[in-house]
Amino acid sequence: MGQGQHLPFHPSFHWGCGVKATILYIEDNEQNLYLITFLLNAKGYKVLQAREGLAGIEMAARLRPDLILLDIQLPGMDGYTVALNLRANPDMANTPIVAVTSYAMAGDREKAFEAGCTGYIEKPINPDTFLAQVEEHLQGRASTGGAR
Amino acid sequence: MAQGASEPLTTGPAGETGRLRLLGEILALAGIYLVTARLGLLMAHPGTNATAVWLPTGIAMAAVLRWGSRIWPGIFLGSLSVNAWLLLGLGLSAQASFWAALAAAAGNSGEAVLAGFLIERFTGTRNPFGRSKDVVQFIFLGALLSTALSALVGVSSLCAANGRWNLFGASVLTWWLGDATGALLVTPLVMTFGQRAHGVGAFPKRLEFLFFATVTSVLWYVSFFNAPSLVVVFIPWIALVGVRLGLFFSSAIVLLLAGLATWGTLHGAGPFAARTLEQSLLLQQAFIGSIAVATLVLGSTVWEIGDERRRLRDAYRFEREVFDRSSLGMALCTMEGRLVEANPSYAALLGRTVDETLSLSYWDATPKEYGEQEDAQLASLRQTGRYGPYEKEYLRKDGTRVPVRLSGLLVERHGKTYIWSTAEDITDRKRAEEAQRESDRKYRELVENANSIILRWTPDGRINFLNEFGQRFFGYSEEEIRDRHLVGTIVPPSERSGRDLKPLMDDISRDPAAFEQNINENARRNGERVWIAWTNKAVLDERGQVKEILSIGSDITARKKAEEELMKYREHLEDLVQVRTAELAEAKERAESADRLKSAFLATMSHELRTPLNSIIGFTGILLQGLGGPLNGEQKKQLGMVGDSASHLLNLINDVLDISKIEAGQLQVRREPFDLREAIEKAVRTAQPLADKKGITLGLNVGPGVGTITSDRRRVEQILLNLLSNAIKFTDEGGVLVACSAGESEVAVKVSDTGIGVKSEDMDRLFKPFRQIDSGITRRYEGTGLGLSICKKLVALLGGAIWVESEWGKGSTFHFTLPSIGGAA
Repeated sequence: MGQGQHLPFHPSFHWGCGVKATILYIEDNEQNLYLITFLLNAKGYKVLQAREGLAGIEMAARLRPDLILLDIQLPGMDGYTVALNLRANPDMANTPIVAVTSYAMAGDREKAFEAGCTGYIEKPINPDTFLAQVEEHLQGRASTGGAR
Repeated sequence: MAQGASEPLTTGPAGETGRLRLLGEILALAGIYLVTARLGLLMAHPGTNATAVWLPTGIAMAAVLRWGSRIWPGIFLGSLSVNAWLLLGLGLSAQASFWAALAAAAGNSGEAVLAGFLIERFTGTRNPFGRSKDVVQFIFLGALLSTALSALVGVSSLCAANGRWNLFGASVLTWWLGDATGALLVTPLVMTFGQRAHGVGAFPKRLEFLFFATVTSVLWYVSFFNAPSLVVVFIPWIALVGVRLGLFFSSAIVLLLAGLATWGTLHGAGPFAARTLEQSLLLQQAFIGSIAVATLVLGSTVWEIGDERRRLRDAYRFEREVFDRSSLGMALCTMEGRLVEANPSYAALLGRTVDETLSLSYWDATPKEYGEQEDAQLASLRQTGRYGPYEKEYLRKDGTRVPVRLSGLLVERHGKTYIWSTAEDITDRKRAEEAQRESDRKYRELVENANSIILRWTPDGRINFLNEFGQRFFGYSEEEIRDRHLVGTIVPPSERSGRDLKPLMDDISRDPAAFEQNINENARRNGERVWIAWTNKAVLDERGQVKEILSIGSDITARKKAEEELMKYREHLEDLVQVRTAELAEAKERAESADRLKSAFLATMSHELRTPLNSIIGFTGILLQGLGGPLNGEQKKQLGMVGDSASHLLNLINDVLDISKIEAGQLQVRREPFDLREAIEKAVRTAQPLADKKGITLGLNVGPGVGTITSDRRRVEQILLNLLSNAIKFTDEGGVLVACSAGESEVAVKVSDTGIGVKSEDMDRLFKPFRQIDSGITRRYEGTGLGLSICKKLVALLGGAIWVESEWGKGSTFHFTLPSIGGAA
């Protein structure tokens, strides 16, 4: 998209160098899907979209994304189950799965990690820090994610 | 002869047999008889044995009166020897003399025995000298009558011996007068010998005797040798002697006079000198005899009077002493009530001396209210001569009262009627009675008012007593229940359960000890059944038989009912538990479902509110970053406002959710080791842009030793961020400083600012939810007012404390501590 120069000091700028990663985003809410896809595309990431769990699992197995962003509240199969299924695939044992959710009740975070997620980003996302949070996981660094 | 003369007359060695003693007495008497006879013969008419005074007769009579007639052999022996001696001297034949002497001895001893018999027979005593009446008997029966016997026998035997019967009459007279005079003079002397010891022989009396003896001798001399007519003086004189000296001494004086007169007459002197000596002696004997009789009668009478007086005085003294010393109060008063006699005990009853008492009237000592009673007693006294015994009170001198028991009678004294009263102090008895009454009353009260049923009944089942409580309880009056049978009144024939009560009653009355306690159903008068717990005790009579049974009962109906209900309740307890468990389970279910609902609601709210915010915040951010294309200044400014508002809304939502979670107890904190320094640095980094935006400094000062603690990192950061954003929000100039130091078991963090500060009066409201100080500030400073409240709760959850120090207008410092390791949730 070419507007990356507005944020010349963004970490992805140095990390990517044109070899941008592919990110699978499993999300049923169109606006969220659009927002994050736009944001990631703007930073040069290739975004795969899945609107439900099963489709996401299938797409992940087929297209092998570098990172999976996973909404928890999904129609049909919920995000925890999706994460469990994704982890069940040995090909994706090391693929970072970051839960992006508006669930903020006690235990939600723990449930997500138990299901196999490696990160947890609460909605609403902070557009100023969101990419930094995502890129932490892309670099393979373990992080529990930041606060709001 | 004189062989027994040395023998004492009146005493015999103790322990000798009566026979020996009698023999001694007989011999002694014979000796004395002989001696006195010879003395008497000295004064006998020459040529006869008819003496003027035959003293042995008096000795013999006294001996018989003293020792009884068994002494007669002594008289006989003495008389025999003296007469034999005399007759032999007259030149009679031995045989004649012997028979004459034998007859004379028989006469002499016979007269004495006869005198003794007659005197005892007619006076009833062997000592006739105690009473004047007896003295007269002695004179007639002893001295005059009995001696006649001796005279007749003796003279007859003499005449038979010498044949001179022509002299019989004169000889009898001479003999009789001699014997009579002897008896009159000597017998009283001997018999009253002992009386000297009873006062009559006291020293003044002896002096008086000497005086009278002397005067008598002088009178004798004058009348015999100078003025014969003066002999009449002897009559009053001897009377005086008899009055003054008593029997013994006056007899002695008369004896003296008799001796002197005889001597005088024998010598031809005196007023009795007649033609013949015999006539003279007879005259003189008559004189002496008369004098002796007069003296005896007077002496004995005077003595008797004196004796009577002594006895009266003794009796009076005795009665007076009894009266004075009696513990019983005694008094004599007139019919009007004036006290004329009172003994000390009576006076003591009235609290007065005897003299004070005697100036009183009986009515002075009688309280007014006893008037009626007194009148009744007086009426009784007039009717029957007696009153009482009755009880009243006396008023004492000091005004107190003393209870007395009185009785008395009418008495005559000096021809006047008096009331003789005896009074007894009954204070002690009254007190004892009062104590007894009090004790009875208490006992009765106890029994009557006890809140127990007290019942006494006979072994055959009849009620003797039921106390008031029992009467009320069962609904019977005393008259209605007394003597009724238990069964049919308070004991129903059987209990509702069917137990027969009649045998139970029989068992109890047969052996109360074995049924000391029993519980049975009873019935009130209205038929209502009650349960009573009884205690039974036997009351035994003197023979140990059961006389009564004492039963004490308590109403346990309520307890019994409670027990029954408890039994029922126990039986249904299981059902009840099941029902209750079901109820509880339902309640629990309801509570849990409400809880789940609440959690679901919170989760939904969280999700549903955040989702639209995600778009708002996200797209605003993208646009502001220029990712959606270039923006002009106005657009940037307005989009910035949208972003700020969205962030603010998000904070609000987060705070509300946090506080809801905390209050629902759903907020759980973790306990994991993390680096506090790193957490603080991260918070400061996060807040840095806010400070930069306001142009204030944000400093950090982490002390040495601050490192890893065990707590909830996310919550610690949340607290820090809250405090930091607060500090930055309220600080326009200067800066904010975060400092952290490590203690022994806790870490202390403080966030200081140079902002507006907090007024001291607002301090305590600071940490309460939905409070932002001053509504004016709310307009200037955005915020939910929940931040500090959430901080306080979180710090508490983490086991620490939070407080603030502030000065209005100068700034505030918020402190919080956290335990280094763990801490209570």
